[in-house]
Amino acid sequence: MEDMMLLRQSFLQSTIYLLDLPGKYPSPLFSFLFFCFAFLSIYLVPRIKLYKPLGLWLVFLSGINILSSVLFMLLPSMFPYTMLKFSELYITTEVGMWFFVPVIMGIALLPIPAGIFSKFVILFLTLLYSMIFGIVRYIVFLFIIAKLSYLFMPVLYFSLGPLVDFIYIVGIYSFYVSKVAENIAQDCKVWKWVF
Amino acid sequence: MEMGLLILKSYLLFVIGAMLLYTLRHFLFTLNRSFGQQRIAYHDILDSELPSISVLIPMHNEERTVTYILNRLVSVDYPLDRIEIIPINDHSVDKTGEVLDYYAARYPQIKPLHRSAGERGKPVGLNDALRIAQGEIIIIFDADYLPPRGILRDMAVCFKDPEIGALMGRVVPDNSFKNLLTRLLDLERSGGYQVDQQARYNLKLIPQYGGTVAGFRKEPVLALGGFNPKILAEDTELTFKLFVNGWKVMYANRIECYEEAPERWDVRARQIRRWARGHTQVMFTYFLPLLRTPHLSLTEKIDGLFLLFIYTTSPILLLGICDSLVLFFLGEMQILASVLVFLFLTSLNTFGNFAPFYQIGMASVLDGATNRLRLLPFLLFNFFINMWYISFGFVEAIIDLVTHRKSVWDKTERFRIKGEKV
Repeated sequence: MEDMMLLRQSFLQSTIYLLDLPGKYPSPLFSFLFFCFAFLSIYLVPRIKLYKPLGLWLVFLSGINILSSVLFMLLPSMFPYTMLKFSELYITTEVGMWFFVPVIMGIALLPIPAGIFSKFVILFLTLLYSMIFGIVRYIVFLFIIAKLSYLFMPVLYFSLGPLVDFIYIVGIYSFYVSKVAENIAQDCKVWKWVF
Repeated sequence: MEMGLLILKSYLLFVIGAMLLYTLRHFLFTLNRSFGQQRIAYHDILDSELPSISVLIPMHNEERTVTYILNRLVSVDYPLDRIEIIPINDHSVDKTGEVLDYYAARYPQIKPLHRSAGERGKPVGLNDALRIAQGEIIIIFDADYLPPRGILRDMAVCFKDPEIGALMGRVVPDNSFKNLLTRLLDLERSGGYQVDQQARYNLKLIPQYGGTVAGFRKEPVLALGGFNPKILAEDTELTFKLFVNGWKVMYANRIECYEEAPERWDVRARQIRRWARGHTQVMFTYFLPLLRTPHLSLTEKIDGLFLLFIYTTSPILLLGICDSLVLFFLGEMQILASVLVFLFLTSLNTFGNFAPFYQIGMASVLDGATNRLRLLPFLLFNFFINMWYISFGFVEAIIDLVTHRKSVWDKTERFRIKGEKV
């Protein structure tokens, strides 16, 4: 990691910091083996007794892995990303996330019958979690790609990228709203407008 | 190449734009349900002059459920001289027919219709039953439903309003405790009825007749040609048929009936695929009549369009994901990365489930639910299944349109323990 560099770049009228480090291309043999594994997964997963949504998800990821391995087997020079370019993609995605988290949480929390202060606290905590999680995930992604090769970049981005953010945003929302519902469950006055 | 990239990027922006419109619509519904004035149905009205009703129950191989629903229907509080119950035994090869005959021998109001020739399917079965039904008002229950004692009276009295062509009650799963799938379907139903349908009724938009826990006036429906046997979503078809011809559909949130939700993902997948296929068939049939009808206001037409196109969101999203994959491999995601987040975060996880998570959350709060709310993140599972199988259904409907082939009714499998005591 001694070749790692921190670069500055302007984005949306401000400055973002990107990590750059040497990437690793997969060998043709490794790409081929990975292709076989992904292909076999697409064939086998629908045939084994597996939780159906999970099976569909695995087939989707295997499809991405097939695309990725075919590209590295046949046209590795066509792969459009370096570590720096991926960093740029990731950070801009993450900035988009930090912009949309308050918007989405604000929309979701607005109709909930609870105090404004607690809503702001939840909104702030979600944003904080998003920032910490986003940075940790960035480091993990770069580590995996640097150690194991670019082959895994697409599947990491599409499986553990923005999609995962849905889970914690809705998770925090659902926990908060369940607590609100518990608190107001005893208060009959609250229910007068329900029907 | 440049043109191709432009198309790909434009499509992604189109997807996001379309989903933003749906996000806005459902946010308005949630706000309306939370803060707006609520319209109630007429079920609290007491009236001694109740209309005559025919209760139709389409059945195909329903030996697991038949005794449950009939036991409840023979003990309702509706005057016996004003009710007939017509179970439609539609090509059953199990003991459904025998059980129906057993009940018919004991209860004169039960008049089974045995269908063993001609086409099978809910629309054709209903058309046959409409021809023999004596009631002014037709009430429909699917065979897995458990109607409570006062429900028929509550439903029938709503038709005192001469504008009402059809009525829809609320569906509540009675087996939500069974597994994660049934719990998630319970959440989905809650969002769909408690907020979505009620808000559409509040706002005088297009509440949907759902084909079960539902009723309609017999004469206008017969005058409009009954149900189209080629369409798999006879409920959506009737909704639009009535609205474009000047009738209204009422939603009654308090008229609740328990149903059995699918307990296996493959059963759910087939169900949602059939719904998508049928709904898309309705979209092709009623797109122009909806725009042309003089009976609807602009806001009703806009909501009608949103409703007609709701099942197109899944194939649009699926294509959007494929589109974003292509752009990723072409290294053209940089500018779109930020908006892609929105695609994943809201649209993707929102409309695969028909209702956004905040709408379901609000519905659960209104229902007084607590622990079940914590399952909201698991709706991601529903999303995968819905997006994939709705897209299948959508493609099938396009093939139906092009080839004019016949649709075959794929009945939803039941899970209830067979044979409640007669």
